[in-house]
Amino acid sequence: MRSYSRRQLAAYASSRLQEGTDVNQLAAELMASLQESGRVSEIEMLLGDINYELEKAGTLAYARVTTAYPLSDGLRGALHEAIKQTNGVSHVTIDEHTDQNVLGGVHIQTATRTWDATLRRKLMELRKVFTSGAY
Amino acid sequence: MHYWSPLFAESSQPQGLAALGLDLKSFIFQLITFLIVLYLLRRFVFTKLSATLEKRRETLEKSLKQAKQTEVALNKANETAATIVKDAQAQADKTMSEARARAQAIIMESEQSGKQKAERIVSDVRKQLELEKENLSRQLRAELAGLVVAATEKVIQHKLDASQDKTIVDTAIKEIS
Repeated sequence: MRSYSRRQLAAYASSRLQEGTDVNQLAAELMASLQESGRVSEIEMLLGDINYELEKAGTLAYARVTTAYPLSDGLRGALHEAIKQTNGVSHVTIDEHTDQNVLGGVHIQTATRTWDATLRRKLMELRKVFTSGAY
Repeated sequence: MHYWSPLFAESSQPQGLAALGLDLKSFIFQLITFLIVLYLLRRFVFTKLSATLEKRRETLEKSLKQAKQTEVALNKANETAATIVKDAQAQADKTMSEARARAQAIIMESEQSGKQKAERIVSDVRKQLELEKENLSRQLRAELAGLVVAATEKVIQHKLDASQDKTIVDTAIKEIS
């Protein structure tokens, strides 16, 4: 069996998903290909690549959102729309996480972009300003 | 006084030379004797004597001449020696003064070199101190920044609630849009 690169597999999976193929069948095909080429450990990376292809195609954006407190419905909706607009996709899937370490604000990561508007980042920048000798 | 003379008889009264007390005969005899002695002396003695004296005179003259020449040569040698000594003295003086000057120059060079070395060391130490000062300053700023951030973090953790966080998230989302 011919060995395909991860990018090739991701492009294939993206097109098949857009066509509406059964997800389980597609997953089986992808696993078989990875097993054949001995690259089962690359499955996470392949999923990232598939997300990237889907987002690039404007179909779907998978966003990992991290906040200090759970998002309200209103904020969730606003975030949904903002990602749709900015990434130029028709659908957005938000994977929410809470982490007190961010202190406040929001961290959004998609396949093609990252936004870090957390208070943690702001404090790190402030630290850089102090240590750079600007003051 | 009675003079013996076999050849001449005595006269009764002295006349002429006899009046003077001279006996002619003995005078002539003595004169002849004198002449013979003179001739003999001249022939056998005076010639050799004068030759010897002449030789001795020549020898003396030669010796004197040689002595004069020696004296002249000695004087010349003395003069030459004096000149050589004078020149040597002058050379020695010159060498001494050059050596002194060179020693002085070496001493000054050493002093200068030592001074420059000291200045270099001082400059290096100053640079080192400046670097250390900068390092300490940087460390201090880093420590201070760490403290400020830690303090701010603590304050935020205590003071920031969900509603305030909501405002922050809302502002961030608007910025993304």
